[in-house]
Amino acid sequence: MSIALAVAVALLPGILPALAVGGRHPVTPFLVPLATAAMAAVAAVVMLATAGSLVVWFAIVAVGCNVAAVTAIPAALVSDRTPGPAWWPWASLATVVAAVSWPLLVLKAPIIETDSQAIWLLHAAMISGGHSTLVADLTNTGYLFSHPDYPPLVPAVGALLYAVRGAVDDHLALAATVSLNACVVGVAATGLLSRVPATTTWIRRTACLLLVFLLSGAIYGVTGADALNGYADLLYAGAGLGAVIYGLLLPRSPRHLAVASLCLAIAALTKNEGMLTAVIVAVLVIARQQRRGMGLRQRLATLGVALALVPGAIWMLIIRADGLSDSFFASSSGETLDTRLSATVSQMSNQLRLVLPAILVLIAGTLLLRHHRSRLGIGDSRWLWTGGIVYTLGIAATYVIGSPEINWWLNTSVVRTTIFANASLQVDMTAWLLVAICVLGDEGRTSPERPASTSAAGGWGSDALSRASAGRPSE
Amino acid sequence: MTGSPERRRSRGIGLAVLAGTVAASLSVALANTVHVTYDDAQQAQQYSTLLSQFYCLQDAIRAEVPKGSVVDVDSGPATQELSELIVLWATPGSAQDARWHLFLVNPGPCDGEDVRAVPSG
Repeated sequence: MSIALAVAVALLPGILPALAVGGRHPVTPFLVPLATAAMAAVAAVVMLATAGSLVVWFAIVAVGCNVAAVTAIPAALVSDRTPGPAWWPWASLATVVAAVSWPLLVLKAPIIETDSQAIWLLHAAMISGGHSTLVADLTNTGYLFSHPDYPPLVPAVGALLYAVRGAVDDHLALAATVSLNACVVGVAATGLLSRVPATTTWIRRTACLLLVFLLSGAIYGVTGADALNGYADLLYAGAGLGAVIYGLLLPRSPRHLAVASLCLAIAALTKNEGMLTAVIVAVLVIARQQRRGMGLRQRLATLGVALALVPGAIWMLIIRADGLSDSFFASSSGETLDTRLSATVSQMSNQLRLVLPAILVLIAGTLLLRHHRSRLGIGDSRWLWTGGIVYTLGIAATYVIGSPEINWWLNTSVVRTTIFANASLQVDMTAWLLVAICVLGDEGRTSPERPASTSAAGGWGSDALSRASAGRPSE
Repeated sequence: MTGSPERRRSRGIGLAVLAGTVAASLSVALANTVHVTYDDAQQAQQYSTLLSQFYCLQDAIRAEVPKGSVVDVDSGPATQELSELIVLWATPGSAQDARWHLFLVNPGPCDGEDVRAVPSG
């Protein structure tokens, strides 16, 4: 089967679930591969827990998700549309597709770095061998170097493509990982563009598109070569970022919560650091959703965010039940905590140089644009900053209490473990400038009909409120 | 825009600082993306060669070692690479359990390398 056909067949199962989650919005095309990847990962978890092959479990999971999606799609398609002129969603989609795909041009040839070969492609082969092969190989001490405890999303997608294509194809699996990286950046970028008010002029809209184009390229920039060589760090970090944007910055709505939940599932199923990211963001999302007067259904839907973490948590439990654990904590370090802490602080602060400009923008934005940001329905910066700070402290603690030689460990990983924090800073800065572009000298056109605080603080259905605020009737 | 001229000027300066800081920060990162993408494109041929060597060595192992064998891959720096090469065909095992001992040798037909399988014991 040709590569193009294999990719198409592997993506088909994700179309309806993506539509059910994203509705008729520019984010939906980016959710299609992510939905397929999430289903493949869940199938791998079930396969590890039971028996059989990935394809069989994927078919079962995909049918179940598609049946559920069919019932949810009518509401998702009718409930809300992107505010603004008819061309805006298409311009948003085209811009973000261009922004996230131009770095992928290098994929004409495979660029496979050590870890992608030794971890993800190796695990993809193991998963493609079915339950017995996977259990035997993961528990084989000869494969301890491959971090057998790592979650299954990336290798499950590779194994699914192998099955569809009928052969192991490392180049294809690598291209899939890099494409998923692009999709999570696309989810984040389209989320920000969705807050451009309906009455914004085309010149301002064009400026917003350019800004988000710049942001997408900049997220690749803080990731560096690891966005393109089969590493999965941008995938979990970008998924975490998507969850931050849809769960913490955009107005509260079931659709935004659904996109955030899918992103959380992706992050938790991609890497152990992704699980850390997902737990932190999920707690913040649930906390932000809590309001007095919420009905039981709304409370349950909010708690549903936590369900997104369940497949990743089950994987971790099974892996630990099999006697496997994170090799970074397998032994004790010979270095003192002081040595490890000072090396960690030094290297991480060197990597997080965006903090200073982001603080400057935060201060200027808070002083000048706070109310406008609220009127546009973009949540308070404190949520995003809290997530980034807690995540960074968690990663720093991992370095300090882990066992590998600290300088080697930091040198080989700190660029990747700080992607989420750096990209969060970029998103917050971009959000402030987006607000400035949309409202500068145009306060009258974007003035809300309701008090400023209600839109951003929002309640369920505040999407509609934001549309009304932007001068367009709710649909 | 409302307020006194001083207030408007302060606001203008503040917004200019905000816009300049965001644009500069994102542009520096974007420049790194351009740089990395260009570098990767230059190195792509090297990675292509490595991948074709990987498949060549995998074929060589499959020609020498029966499927399902337990193989001793303890071969110094090449141990990890050999473990990756035998996946889905053979299983890494200790010297006591293994039926075969696998080595990487050179020169060979796979871009200068080859594998040699020796029966254990």
